[in-house]
Amino acid sequence: MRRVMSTAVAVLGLGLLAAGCGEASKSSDESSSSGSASAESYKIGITVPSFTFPYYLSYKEGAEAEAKKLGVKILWADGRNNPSTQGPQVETFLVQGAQGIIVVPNDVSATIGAVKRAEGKGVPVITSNRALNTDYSKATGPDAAKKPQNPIVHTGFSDPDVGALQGELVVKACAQKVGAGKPCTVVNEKGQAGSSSTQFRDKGMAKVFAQHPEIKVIDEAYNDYDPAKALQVTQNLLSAHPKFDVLTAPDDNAMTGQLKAVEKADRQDSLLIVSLGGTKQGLSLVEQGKVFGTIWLPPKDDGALAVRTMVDVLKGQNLTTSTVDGVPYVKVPIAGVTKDELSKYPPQW
Amino acid sequence: MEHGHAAKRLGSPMGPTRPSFLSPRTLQRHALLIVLGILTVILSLSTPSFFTSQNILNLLDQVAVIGVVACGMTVVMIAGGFDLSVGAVVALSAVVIAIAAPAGGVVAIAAGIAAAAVVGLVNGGLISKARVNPFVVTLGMMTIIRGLSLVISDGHSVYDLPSWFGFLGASDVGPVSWGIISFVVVAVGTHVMLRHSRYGRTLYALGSNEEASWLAGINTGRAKTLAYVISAALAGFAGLILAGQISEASPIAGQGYELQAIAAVIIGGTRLGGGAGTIIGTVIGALMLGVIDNGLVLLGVAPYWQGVVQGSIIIAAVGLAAYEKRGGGA
Repeated sequence: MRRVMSTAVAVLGLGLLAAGCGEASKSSDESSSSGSASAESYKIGITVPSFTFPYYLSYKEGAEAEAKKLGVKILWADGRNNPSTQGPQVETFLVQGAQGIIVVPNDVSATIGAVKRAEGKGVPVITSNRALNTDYSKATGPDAAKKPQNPIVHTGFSDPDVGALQGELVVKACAQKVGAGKPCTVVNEKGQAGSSSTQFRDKGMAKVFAQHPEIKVIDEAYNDYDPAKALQVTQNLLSAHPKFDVLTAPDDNAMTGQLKAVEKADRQDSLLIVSLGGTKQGLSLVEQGKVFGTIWLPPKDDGALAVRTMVDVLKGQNLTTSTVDGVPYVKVPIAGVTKDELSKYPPQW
Repeated sequence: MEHGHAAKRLGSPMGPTRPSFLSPRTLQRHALLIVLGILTVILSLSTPSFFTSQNILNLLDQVAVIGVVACGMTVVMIAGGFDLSVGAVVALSAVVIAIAAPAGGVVAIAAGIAAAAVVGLVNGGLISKARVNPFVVTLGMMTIIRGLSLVISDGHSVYDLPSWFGFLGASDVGPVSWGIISFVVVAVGTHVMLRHSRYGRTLYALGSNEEASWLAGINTGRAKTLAYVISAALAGFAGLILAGQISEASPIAGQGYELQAIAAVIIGGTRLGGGAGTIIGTVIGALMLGVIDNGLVLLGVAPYWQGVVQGSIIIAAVGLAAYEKRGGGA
């Protein structure tokens, strides 16, 4: 078995090496071709947590569209859902001559070292969509790009805000289900145990619930954002709790599995589902009345804003920021959406 | 068990030719049944909802997908192999079926299961002809197939499926879901194949001693390849059940299913090196995993602790079986 393991590790290592070489040679081709472009065009590196998440596919579309408008060239890197991949990717961007780097970290701390090293090379870094757990720059003014203190700013939305919005939507659902201020039981189904997005959304939601003593979370479980697992987890929760008022979903994709379980158990009339995401499918289920509401997240706006902000930093323009928990922040609007507000929020993914 | 000569076992899939009630294998299977029974009794007494028909049907429905995958895994493992690619194959087949769905049910399902079978053929070919280690081949295939599923679905779940798809998930035969029926059919089919067909006996022989089997005139390469094709095709079939259950096909579905299936097979008493094992054991193993999953939620065990308890019960169950086996066989 040991020999098998070491063979496997060796083969894997070789594979990764080969893949890495492939990427590097490919991107160096790209950079040489872009070298002849006008001096106005910036080269920006963006690393995202994983392109297996549909969110980041739409995020990429939004970012590319904005980059085309602004004459920016984007180098993409896929974090492959692994905390240790994104630091090296940032270093690679530096080697490739990126003038600015946008990090969408899949871990709150793993890329901090690389982000700080970019300072030494005078390359500004901003975070987008997910923040890093570190001190952000105090200077977001015109000189931010000259002697950058990374990360300079965070763009997009924050997970605590997302959680708080979902919490408020739960309160609204409770008011409709049992009447405002009356005791309301909630089963909270979450994403991935231990992941930063799940933890921070949880915090935001808990803050809202703390102000609403009528809301009682009677159970919670994790479905790993996987509709198939969500179906099973929800079936078990429905068996464990013969009656409750509101069921939360960690995203619209997993929610479809939860909805299936609710319909199979014939409980769709006795509880309301509050989801999160604002996908085509999620919003259409809200429209059909099968889901009470969802949080509308705009990946295309999110990606576009990140590129726009990076260009503003590079051009030395003042950023309009607000500060959340000490982090300078350029926000993209998000919203809790029920059937009544659907027309204002077309899906972006 | 270990000291039986392979050649002597060639014609007898069950080890000793006439299993008495006190034979180690019988005891081992009983030890597992006893653990499963104890779990069921504890859960029935301590939660009001466990022993309700609805919950039991849910539980069986939940076990169906892993159960079908595990039956295929049993075939491969009895032959002395290993298949880590099945979880990815579940997703591939689901996505292929969903994308081909507008062409009609028969075409789409055939396409999905055929795609899965091709993966098995490649696995088996590389392992038996090119003699690459099964661990390496199927680990590599796992990543390749996962990637291909993402490529052909463009990373998105496929939903808005035609109405015939709904029948798979929603329509039940009486109270019994389509998934449960599939699981039973697959379990009976693989059981009969392993126990009562010439090919089944070949697989046990192959797992006990490949060289002896070859010397005995068995086409070991072909037998092995076919085992991987069966495993992959059943994983493809499981993808169909999964897509039916949730009425959509996700390219990232089925992650970790290979390990759950292997867990069910090992809990069920199949020897890791091959040559011994039964479908009945695997079915019990899959049921045990399902009962634990379901029971921990019903008992209100905190989510973070569920994994700890689950792993402990698995080790305890297999440990008990191994202890019984040693005791009876000494």
